[in-house]
Amino acid sequence: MRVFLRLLVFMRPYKWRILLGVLLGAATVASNVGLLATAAYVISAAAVVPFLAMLTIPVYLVRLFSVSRAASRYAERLVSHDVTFKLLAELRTRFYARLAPLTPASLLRYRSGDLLSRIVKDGEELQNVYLRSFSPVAVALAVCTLAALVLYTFDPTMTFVAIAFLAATGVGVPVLVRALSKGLGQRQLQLRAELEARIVDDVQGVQDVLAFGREGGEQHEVSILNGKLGRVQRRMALVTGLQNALSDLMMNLALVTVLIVTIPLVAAGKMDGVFLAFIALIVLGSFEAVAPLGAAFQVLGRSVGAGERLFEITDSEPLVTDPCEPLSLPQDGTLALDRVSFRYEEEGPPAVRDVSFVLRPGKRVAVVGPSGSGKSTLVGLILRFWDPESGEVRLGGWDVRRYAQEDLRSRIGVVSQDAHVFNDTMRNNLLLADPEADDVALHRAITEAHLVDLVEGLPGGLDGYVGEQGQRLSGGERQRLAVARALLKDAPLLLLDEATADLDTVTERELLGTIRELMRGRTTLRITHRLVEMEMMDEILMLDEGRVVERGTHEELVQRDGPYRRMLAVQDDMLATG
Amino acid sequence: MEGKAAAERIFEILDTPAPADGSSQVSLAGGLEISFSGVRFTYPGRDVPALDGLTLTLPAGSRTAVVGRSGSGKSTLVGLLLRFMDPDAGIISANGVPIGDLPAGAWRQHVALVPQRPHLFYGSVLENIRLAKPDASRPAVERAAELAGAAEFIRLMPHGYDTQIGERGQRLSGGEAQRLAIARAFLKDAPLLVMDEPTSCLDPESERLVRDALDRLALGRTSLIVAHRLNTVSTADRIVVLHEGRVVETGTHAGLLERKAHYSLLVGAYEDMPA
Repeated sequence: MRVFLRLLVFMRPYKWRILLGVLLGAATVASNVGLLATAAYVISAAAVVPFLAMLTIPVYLVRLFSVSRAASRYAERLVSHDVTFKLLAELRTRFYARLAPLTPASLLRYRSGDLLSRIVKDGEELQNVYLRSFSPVAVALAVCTLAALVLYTFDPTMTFVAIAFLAATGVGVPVLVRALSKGLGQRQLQLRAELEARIVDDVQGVQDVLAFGREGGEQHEVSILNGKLGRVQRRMALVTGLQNALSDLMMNLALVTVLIVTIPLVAAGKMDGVFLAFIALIVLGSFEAVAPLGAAFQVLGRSVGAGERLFEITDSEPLVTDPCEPLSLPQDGTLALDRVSFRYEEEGPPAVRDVSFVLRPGKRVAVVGPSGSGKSTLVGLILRFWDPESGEVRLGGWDVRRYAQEDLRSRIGVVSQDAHVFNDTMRNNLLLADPEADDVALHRAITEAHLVDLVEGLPGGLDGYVGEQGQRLSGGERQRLAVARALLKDAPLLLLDEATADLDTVTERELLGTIRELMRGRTTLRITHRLVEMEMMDEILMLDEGRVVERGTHEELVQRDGPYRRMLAVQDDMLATG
Repeated sequence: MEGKAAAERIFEILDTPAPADGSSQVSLAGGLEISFSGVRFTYPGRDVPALDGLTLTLPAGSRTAVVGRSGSGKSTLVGLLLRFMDPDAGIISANGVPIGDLPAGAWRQHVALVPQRPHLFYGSVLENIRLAKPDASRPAVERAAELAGAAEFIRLMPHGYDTQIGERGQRLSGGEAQRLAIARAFLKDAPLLVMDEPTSCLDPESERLVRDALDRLALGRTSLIVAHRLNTVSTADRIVVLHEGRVVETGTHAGLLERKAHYSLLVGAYEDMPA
């Protein structure tokens, strides 16, 4: 219920449009009822009235209703879809706006697929709150009230009979259907998800499936799941059929009962027989308004579920917040970590423990160690994706928590393991780093990152498309794009997070050359598990299980018989010569 | 109209010809010798062939490493050997029988593949290794994991061999996934081993564990190792250098270094860096 109320709050800014939409919706159904009923009256009356001229007004009403039905239907569609799309846009924007500050610390708990399905599917589901749930209920209420008022002018008994049947169809049948299909919908969703996951898994893993001769077995598994899904769908179809049959039955029973009540009135002379058909058709017509209610309740249930899932995310507090009065960035660009510890989960093991180092302007520090030793966590802490559990990360002598996140990040250029290529033009992919950059700056960055050949080869050059729907970039080209972005951003502090880890040796060597140029004149923190070009670094920190186990320059560490030398030995051994 | 468009897309896939199946058999007595002769393959929609008249023999029980720059056709070799596709020209034969004449499924039973990025299916570790042999007993799976050097990290997982992995389960590191794939290969126990090394490098320790496991696995089998990073080449009996879809050099590590041609250039790139 609380979720439903919160969803209603989203509708508040559009209340006048929504009212208009509901009125138009009611007018559509009412016109139809009016059209049927007045037409019936005209036909009945034509048989008994002496002068057809007496029917002029009812005949005009028939014309009016037939035109107003079409017109109000058209206007209602326009208004209600306008509201729906505005609502959807509003929901998505709000959701994304809440999402961005949460990234990535709080979102680590959700798998990317799950997050995507929440934004896209649940968002889509919510657009139905108004169109398929709120609006039909309001229209049904309006039409039934109107019909009841008209009927009441003739006789109270038939009014109650009609209301009873309308309520039974609109509310009773859906409740019954819900009881019958209890669990079926859930089961269907679950089976479909399982089937989809299985098929995706088999397609992605097709090499392994074929190589191990499991294609027959997998096909069998898929067909078993398919069979289960089929059985559930068959039962769903039976329930739906029953629902339709019951609704029709109710409508016809309502007609019969109203006639049973009304005919004695006519026989007793308490009512003019001319109105008999008129009343019958008012009753029949009103059922058009209650027919969509069954679906409306289902949609409402799903929407509330979707709303609940979305609110769960937007309600979580961002772990990292901006200070009320952020400091302006200092002149001094010294980055210092002072006894920094951090863990991802409260009960989990610490990812980094007591890490301290100072990176002075223009200097270079390397953090090395095996995967999982906490190297990348340091990057997240420096960029303030997370705040340390204890200790401080300082820039220019002040805790980074005293700066606005945006200011802090503007000082830092990052080249990480796999740069994301947006499905967009090369230009826009570069402008991400500096939206103001002009063509001269872009071309300089492209030249320095050695991307000239790629850009010239793109159909459309800088405006050629790259990424999913454009030209795919190889691993080396992607990393060069990241370097070009860092060049454009021109931040004084450079973070290289395993920038060459995903490349083959030849490509790695070429890229390292480019990165050397990028490092010139910039303060650099380099994170790597490969001990390459270490002699260029002013200090090397060897990390193991989150702790600094060794530190010094390359020369010092090679002299010592410690973890660094062992790591170097294992690496050189890879290419055991001879 | 939408239905028609959907049907067209489905038929496009249904109408794609599958590699033809033969009905010959191959005898495995005395090991498995593989030979490529004049093999040419071009990916659909490309102009330049990925393999262009490749000729190469893998003697029974030998260990061959294939090296070359990216795009030289190394991974295509793997795809052809497993019959994920068939060559446009030339013949690949096993003990003298063209593998195109064998039923694809039956042929693949003789090959254990350790792919570049092993796919982990959603399921337990046990089920993932068992993919290689669905009826294998639990002790057999555990032995394979032991040999693959995977037993230790599996034991450290929350539910050991019953831990759920894959898309909706626990994540494994690159090195762990590799060793799981090697465990699958041990369980399969096929006479031909094909290993497509990952292009991205593992940290030195995991790399050593993978290499040791691979050494054990290659013992007594004909093996073909596609080495993207030259990590495992030194223990190979023979190194084959591919360039633009052709074999340009063949020899041992030392012999090829002395020639100071393609291979020593590749190695140079690798060695320069840690200097």
